[in-house]
Amino acid sequence: MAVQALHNKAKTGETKRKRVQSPWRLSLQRFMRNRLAVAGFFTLLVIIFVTVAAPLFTPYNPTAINIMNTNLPPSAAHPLGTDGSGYDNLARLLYGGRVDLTVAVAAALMTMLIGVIYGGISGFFGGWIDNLMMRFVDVMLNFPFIPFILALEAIFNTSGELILITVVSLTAWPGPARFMRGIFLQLREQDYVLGAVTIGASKWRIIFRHMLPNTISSLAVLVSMSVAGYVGLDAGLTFLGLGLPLTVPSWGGMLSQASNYIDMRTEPYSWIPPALMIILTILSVNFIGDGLRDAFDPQART
Amino acid sequence: MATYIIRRLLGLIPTLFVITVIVFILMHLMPGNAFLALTQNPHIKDAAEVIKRKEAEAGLNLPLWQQYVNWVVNLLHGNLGTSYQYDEPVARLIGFSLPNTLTLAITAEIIVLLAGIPMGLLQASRVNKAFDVSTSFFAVLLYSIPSFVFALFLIYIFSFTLNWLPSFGTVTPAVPWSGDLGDRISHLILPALALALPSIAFYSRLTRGNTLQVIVQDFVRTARSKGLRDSRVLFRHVLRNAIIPIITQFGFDIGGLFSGAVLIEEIFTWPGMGELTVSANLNRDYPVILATTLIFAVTVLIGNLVADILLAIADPRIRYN
Amino acid sequence: MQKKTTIFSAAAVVTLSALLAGCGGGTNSGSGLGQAVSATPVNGGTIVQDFPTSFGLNFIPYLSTSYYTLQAWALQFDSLLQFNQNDQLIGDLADKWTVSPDKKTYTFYLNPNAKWSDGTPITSKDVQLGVDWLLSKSYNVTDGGSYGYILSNVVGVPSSGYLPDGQTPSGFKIINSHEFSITVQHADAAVLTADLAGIVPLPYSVLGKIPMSQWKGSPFDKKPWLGSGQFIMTSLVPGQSITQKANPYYVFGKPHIEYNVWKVISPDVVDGDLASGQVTISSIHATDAAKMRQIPNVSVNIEPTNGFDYLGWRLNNSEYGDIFSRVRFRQAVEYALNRPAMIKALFDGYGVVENGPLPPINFWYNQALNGTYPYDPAKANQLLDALGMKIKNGWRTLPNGQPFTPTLTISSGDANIQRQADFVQYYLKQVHIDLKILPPINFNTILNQLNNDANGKQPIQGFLLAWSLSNDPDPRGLWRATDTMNTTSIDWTNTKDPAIQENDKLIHEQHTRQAFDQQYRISILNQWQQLLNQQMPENFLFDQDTVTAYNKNLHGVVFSPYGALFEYKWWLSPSS
Repeated sequence: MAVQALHNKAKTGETKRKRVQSPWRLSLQRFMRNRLAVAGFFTLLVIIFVTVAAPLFTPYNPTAINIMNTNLPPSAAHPLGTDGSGYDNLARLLYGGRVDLTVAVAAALMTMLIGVIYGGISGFFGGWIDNLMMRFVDVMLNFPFIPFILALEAIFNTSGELILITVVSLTAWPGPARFMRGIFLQLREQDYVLGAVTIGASKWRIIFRHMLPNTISSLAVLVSMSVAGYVGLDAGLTFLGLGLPLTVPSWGGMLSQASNYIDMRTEPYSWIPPALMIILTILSVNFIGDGLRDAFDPQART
Repeated sequence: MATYIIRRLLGLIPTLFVITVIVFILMHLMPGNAFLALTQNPHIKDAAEVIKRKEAEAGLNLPLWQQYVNWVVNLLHGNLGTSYQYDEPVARLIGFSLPNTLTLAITAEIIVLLAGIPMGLLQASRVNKAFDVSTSFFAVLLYSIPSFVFALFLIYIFSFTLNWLPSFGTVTPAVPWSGDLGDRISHLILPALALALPSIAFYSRLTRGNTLQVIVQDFVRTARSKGLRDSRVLFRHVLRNAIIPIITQFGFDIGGLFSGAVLIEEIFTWPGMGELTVSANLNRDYPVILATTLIFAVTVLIGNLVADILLAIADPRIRYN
Repeated sequence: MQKKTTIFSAAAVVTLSALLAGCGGGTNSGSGLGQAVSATPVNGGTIVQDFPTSFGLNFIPYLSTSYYTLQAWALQFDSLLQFNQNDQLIGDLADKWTVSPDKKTYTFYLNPNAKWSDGTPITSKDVQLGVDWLLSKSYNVTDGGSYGYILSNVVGVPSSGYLPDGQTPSGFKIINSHEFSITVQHADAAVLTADLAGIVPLPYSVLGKIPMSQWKGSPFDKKPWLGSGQFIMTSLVPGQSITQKANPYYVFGKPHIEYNVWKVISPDVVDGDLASGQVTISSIHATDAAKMRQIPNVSVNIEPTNGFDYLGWRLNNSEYGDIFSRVRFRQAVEYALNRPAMIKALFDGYGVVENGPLPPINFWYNQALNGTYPYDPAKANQLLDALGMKIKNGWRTLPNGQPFTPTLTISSGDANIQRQADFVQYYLKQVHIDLKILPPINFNTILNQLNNDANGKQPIQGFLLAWSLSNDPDPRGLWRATDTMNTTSIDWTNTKDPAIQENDKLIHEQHTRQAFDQQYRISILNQWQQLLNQQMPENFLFDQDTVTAYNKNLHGVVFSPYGALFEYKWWLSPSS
């Protein structure tokens, strides 16, 4: 991912010195000054809120079929119409974020946790440890996604969110890990790390205490990029015949159900809302990521 | 450096071994096999017998380890086996598919580099001006839209509504100009664009960041103070220094470009490796699954290797010992 | 949009009907079905048809197992006889046939106009080559061919089902260059329609010189340049298209259309391609029919289908004792489902309820089955009560008081099957049956589980699948206790059950020598349908219509439950 994009040193704006504040407070202040990031933050909050509190906004159960009311156009009772099972589209839109956001959060968490630890160890120690660990990453990067899903489906005799989350968790981390390793490789040569090594600081202390804080800005972008890749993932999978079952409401599922010429043309109410939700979520996360990067950039002077 | 490259190339062998073993195991964990569908043919009198015979012919009745050894031995003899679903040598199927995927992926990457890098440079040279802010916003927006949604939009507009470009395949059959350069290009435009657009956004962001990093460095100031034109400084001095990490990233991306093509190939019915892989998996076509995974893996690993080497060249401080 | 059902639920059902109905011309065509636009057909033009997934690459008849490859070679090679849109057997390359008094010897007379696409006549020698091929060891063993059954009843065919390469069975005799006879071992009322009609003559001038062991993979197999059918292949792009050109020597006259192109197209974009004219004719999902009609240059045709969807139970599954094998349980389920409402919701009303093993459009359908099993939850409850399934906490239990939560297995990748499952669950809930829908799994996984059911795990209880039927109503292959398709689906095989004994007896009687009398065969098949209607070995659901969308410029298509027929009569008006 875009490590280099993160070291954006050219900063504009005021450079007036203020009295000394804690770095966290400074970062927060810088973040709050970035309007796009703040807007993104609140948009994401709203999206999460309506998703979690979906029952407050719709009387319908998103998994209750209604055989007498299938494929209805929008009306007062169903503002976004109903789909082929008689599910209320609005209810599915509101509840649908749960799956997409969970998958994205799982991917983001794994990216952060394993990415940092794995990449950190590999990059810091170098040598044969690095070599071995990176060969394992090579293997994981080539992990056969489709047979893995089909095999899991068969072993657990199920499909759906759990399989999706398992697969994503197991396959999301190698790219980020390799990326973080690159960053640690660079940081390892920095004077302050060499200094810490010289005075005999423990290796773990150097990694987590000295190097890690300097990777936060890169990490922020990494996480926002990975969220972008995983929201709506199930839509792509549905195209390959590996998606979630219909009973599980999801934005990706709604989108792929309606993504053919006829429905795109005649039923914009069924696909534009989920598409918008996916795009808004990714946009918000990206703006937040940009804001965090700038806020935590150690070279920033404000 | 030479020893390093040789060592890494040798290192590919155990990695490929592990990858193929994993595929082999997963493949057999997927229930069913390619021949079970014969039970659904009402005219096969004794389907169980036919299936048993077919399984024996394919060697599926042997212990797993032996099947794997047989596959490796055949591979070393240059034999990838015969596809169960198409009844064709796997090498022949790949011979049809691989060039198509390469054409699509390389075209997309050329578009990405030709559009993404200049865009990022221009953004960086006008940092925080209207051009930068608006195009950056647009870039993030492009990056936010899943590529298959793009694909459908492109088809919807340029094929279905305007009827300018075809929506499927690589050539127009049954016309005199079938297979001409122009015919091929007209088929290539939409899928290549769909594959390229999200990456253009990504690479322009990447270039912008790198350029900003370089642009404040001393040698740039020196060049400027010598009175060189801005555009010359930008493209000669800044780009040269900013491009190495981008090329490195490019190496890492080669694998992504292959797998990213899977969905696009499905939607545009582009007969490439992606289509081949998906149908092989759904139909339990073991020899094809193994061969496609192997080719994917080699591509990804070589890409990584190139990226690592470039990284080493670019940053002499990184030691390889 | 797309008919994914066909891909996933009936994927492998390659019946001979698809071949016989899809190809060839006939003397008594459906003149009434033609368009009223302009009376004189215009020659020339190209039509494009679609395959949803890639096709196989062996084009010698009967070699490939790919359904799509079959559609392509069936346009290029005609068989001896064919079916018309009314399911009647009519002439094709053979224009006349007679049966001996003992009903064992069939004599065929080749049509004087039957020619190869290079203008040379088709002779008995070519037919003999086609017979030898289907019986050859190369075809049946080395190449794993699966259509040898067509000749398995012929005199001189051993029980192994094959002969050494190039050996002709003694039951096949050439009388002269355009007459030959085939003698079978047992008189069988279905042998002509279900089997012999499908014999395909092969060009002796080309293939006669090549040993059969080398046919597969030969240049002619990869791209046959000669044929007896309507269109002859001119080019092929593996994985994406097959182009065929009109055969000037076609037995019923040169087709009006100059080129027929098959293209592999993702089902997600076919509707748009129809609208833009890039595809000429394709089947679409029923719920899209109304929307497709609004597109100015597209017409929509709706036909019943010779097949049906069903809800099956693994009858020998012992998870809940013998409950699935109880007739009253299955009858109760049939009464509990509001099938007309399901047809309305799932297919926009384009379909009919199915009460037995043959669909209502079928010539052999027993009209007495009409109206049996209406939607009647009270009746369903009565039947379940009578079984001793009491209601506890709102749900029915087994007669012994244990909880009853049967499962339903469905295949993934098909939204419509998932909806069917949802609706079945909904209606069973109304009669207090707690059906649990398992998460959709891959079709291959289902086949595997049905096949390995005997190992004690019994993963499948209920499942949703579909049957696609052949032109002849012969239930053999599907319904007898020993048939593979029975054992690997509902498993209605307990031969101690008198109903199953009766079933096998009726199936035998409907093809005996006596059954050459059509009235007799009808009465037996009527009894058999009554039996299955009463026994409900599987819960027959409905027969969904085939909805075909096609370009308004296309005329003369003969739509029927057996496909869009007689392509040589189709023509394209110059685009307006």
